[in-house]
Amino acid sequence: MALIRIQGVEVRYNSVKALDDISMDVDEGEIVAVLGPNGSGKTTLLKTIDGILKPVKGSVYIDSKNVLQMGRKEAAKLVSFVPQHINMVQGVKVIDFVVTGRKPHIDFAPTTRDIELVLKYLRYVDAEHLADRDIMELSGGEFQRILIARALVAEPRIILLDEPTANLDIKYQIAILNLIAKLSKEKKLTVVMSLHDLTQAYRYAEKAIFLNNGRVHAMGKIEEVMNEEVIEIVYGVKAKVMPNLRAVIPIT
Amino acid sequence: MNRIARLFKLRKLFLTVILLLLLLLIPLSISIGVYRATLLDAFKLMLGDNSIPVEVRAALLLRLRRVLASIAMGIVLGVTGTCMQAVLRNPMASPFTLGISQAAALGVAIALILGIAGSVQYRVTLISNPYILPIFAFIFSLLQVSLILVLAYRAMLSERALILAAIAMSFLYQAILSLVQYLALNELQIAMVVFWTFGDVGRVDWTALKMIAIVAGVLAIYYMIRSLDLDLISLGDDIAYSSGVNPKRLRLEATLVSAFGVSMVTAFAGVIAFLCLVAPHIARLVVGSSHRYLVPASMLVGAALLLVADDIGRTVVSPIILPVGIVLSFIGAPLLLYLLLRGGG
Repeated sequence: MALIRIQGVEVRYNSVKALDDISMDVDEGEIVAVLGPNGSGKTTLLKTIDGILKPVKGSVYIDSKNVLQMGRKEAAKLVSFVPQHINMVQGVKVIDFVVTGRKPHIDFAPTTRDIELVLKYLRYVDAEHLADRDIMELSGGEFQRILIARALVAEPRIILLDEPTANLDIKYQIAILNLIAKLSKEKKLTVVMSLHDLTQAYRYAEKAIFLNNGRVHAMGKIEEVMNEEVIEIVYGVKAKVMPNLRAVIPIT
Repeated sequence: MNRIARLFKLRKLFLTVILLLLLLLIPLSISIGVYRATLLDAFKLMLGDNSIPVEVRAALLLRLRRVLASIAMGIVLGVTGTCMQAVLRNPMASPFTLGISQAAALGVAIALILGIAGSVQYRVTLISNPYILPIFAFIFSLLQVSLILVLAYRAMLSERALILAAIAMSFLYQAILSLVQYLALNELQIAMVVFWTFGDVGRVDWTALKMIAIVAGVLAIYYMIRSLDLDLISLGDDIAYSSGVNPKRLRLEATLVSAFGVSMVTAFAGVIAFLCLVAPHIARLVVGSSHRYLVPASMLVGAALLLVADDIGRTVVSPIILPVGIVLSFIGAPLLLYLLLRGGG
């Protein structure tokens, strides 16, 4: 069975339907891009996979277990969620922030091993030199790397990223996506990420799911679903897909 | 990595220094006052040495009680302020922002109206004088907390809306209190309510001290165990939930525990609200916002600050003793302003 199996999921915010009859499978080590316009349900889908939101219909299975029936700690060991925003608190050092990601493995207080792991993953995202800096002092690109390091210290099998390249300049966007690709390859990590940039999705994802008004419009291998017709229906924008360059450009 | 080791070492050093300072303040606080005793007498008293004269011993024991009460209450108020700021994700939050002090003051006024501030007899149970006002204050604070929790969980109010609702309720209590004072209370009763709201550690007797000390111990252990969870909830509910902490449950639990501790302190000593705000911020400016260090730091800062404020209150216009609540605001406000300006806010 697939590592993540979503079956007929419906999620509501009060009376508003945010996700409607979503089903998909994600295999171990895959990189999946969740695409769609603002308000189409991308973040909702990621939160539902992590069990943060409870569907009114359908279920999410992680490694064959229903995510809502797992203990929160057990789920947190398997899945890490990287949100787009966090509540920034002054006086929190990078090391303090990243160590909170170890929570599923910590009973009382972080041990020396936990701190060593934090430093190891900070090194992995090339941010060890930032360990004693205040999180409020970091640039967008630095902070995104720290967020990813925080997700990695739990040593999960799945990482969910909510628009990891938003608010970054092009150099950092590429750096973050290269890092995600490296994680998937070296650590066999399964990645599900929501993205706005279709070219990035085309270049880095193996699979894509196009959401429109909370429903799946298209889903499958990236080469199969990334086409002009799908983009026009989902985004209402005419675009040119260039398979040789693996790029998508809007045509106005 | 050396820099990280140094960061952790510095935080531990601060905790050790302030602990030592607090331990040093105990004999010093016992020795100062109208009757001047030596530091040696204070040490002898603490060590249970019976060689000091009985009359000196009696005076010093009273001071020891004040000192221990200040420390226990400082711990409770300091740590609950930190905790409420984390769970409500608001630097201005404190258990008093939730309207506890106003509710407690109203409780005191109502006890006075009912004319039961002396003693109450219900069938065979007789509750005698000193505990009637605290019990009313305590019941009213807990009623306010229950109301807040109902608002938070039944009406699903957000943290910000919750604080706003609590502030609105505080004004309502204040209005009721003013109305009661205007229409129903005589001058003496009004003076009693006003005096009660000043906040005074001298009112805490040995029984009350034991109860507050137990509460302080329980709170200290609870918050130390929950320190990493407090880090997570202050970052956001989604991130906390994703890391295995149920933010709603933690917020409920922490609010209840804090409210219980603060209600207890307020019931016995009156309103010492400012400490909940000032102690956590001073601690944060020094050790940062990681709760593993911030929780003990705010307990120690709270205890030291309340003790120093009470020492000043006892000595500055001696033989008159100023209520600690007033002195605390005089010291705490400029200190916090200075640290904020120096630390760049």
